[in-house]
Amino acid sequence: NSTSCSNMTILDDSYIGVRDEYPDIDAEIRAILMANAQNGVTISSIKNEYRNMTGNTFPLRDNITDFLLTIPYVTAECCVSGKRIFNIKPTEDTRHLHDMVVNQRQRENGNS
Amino acid sequence: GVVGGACSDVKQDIFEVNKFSKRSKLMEILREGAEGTIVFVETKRGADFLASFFSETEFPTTSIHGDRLQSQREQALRDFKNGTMKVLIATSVASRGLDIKNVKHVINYDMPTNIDDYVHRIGRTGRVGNSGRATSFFDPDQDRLIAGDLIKILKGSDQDVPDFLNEIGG
Repeated sequence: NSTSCSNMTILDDSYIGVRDEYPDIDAEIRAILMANAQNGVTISSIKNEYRNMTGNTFPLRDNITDFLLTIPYVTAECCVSGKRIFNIKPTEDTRHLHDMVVNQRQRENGNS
Repeated sequence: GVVGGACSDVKQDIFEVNKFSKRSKLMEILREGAEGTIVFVETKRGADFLASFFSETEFPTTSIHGDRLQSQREQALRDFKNGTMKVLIATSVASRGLDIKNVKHVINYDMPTNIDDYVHRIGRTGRVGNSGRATSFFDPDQDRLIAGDLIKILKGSDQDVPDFLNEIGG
């Protein structure tokens, strides 16, 4: 809504350098979020998985929430525990995967 | 069947690819023709990551792994067979017991850890007179243990053994 937009202090432009250097980063992060769409995922897990999947260290140190929220279809929520959990909304291209992941068997642990 | 005997109709290519070059290599191969390709990967998350990335950037891609319900596996398989999804990414556990035959191209994005799985996977392509194609990414940091058996299979099915593999397995 308009209130939250007018409060935004970081402009999308701030991340042009990152996107120049890592042209696939939006799709890569959406893919990480998709693979975890059943339960959502924290920033530290996103950083770990980004390194596992791409071999690169996550290219930002600060304001990661702001950055993630410049990526289309990314969502964030604050849990009761205070944890910040990120997730992804489906698009036309990925709805088939999203439906499966969200409704699949619940994973017993976070690995593999 | 006889190990090695089943796959002489299949053209088997082995590329030396390290872990983080696999995705761009896969993309390069799929751009030459993606339809009817099944890609075997090691982890469930890896399967969904690749399926999402490819669906967004290249071709409609679906995935099958051990967390999927039976109905979801069957749906993914139907979408793949009828061509709605050009590419199917699967973990090897999930693909066992599934009726996936007459695949145009099998890609071992992650090599299996034993040679029986290799033979089984590539047996899904090149049936009854049709020539099939199997491409494997061999990561020297990961796959050394299978090199010797792989060489035997390649030789037994009249395939070229790449030099890098001979050096590792010889």
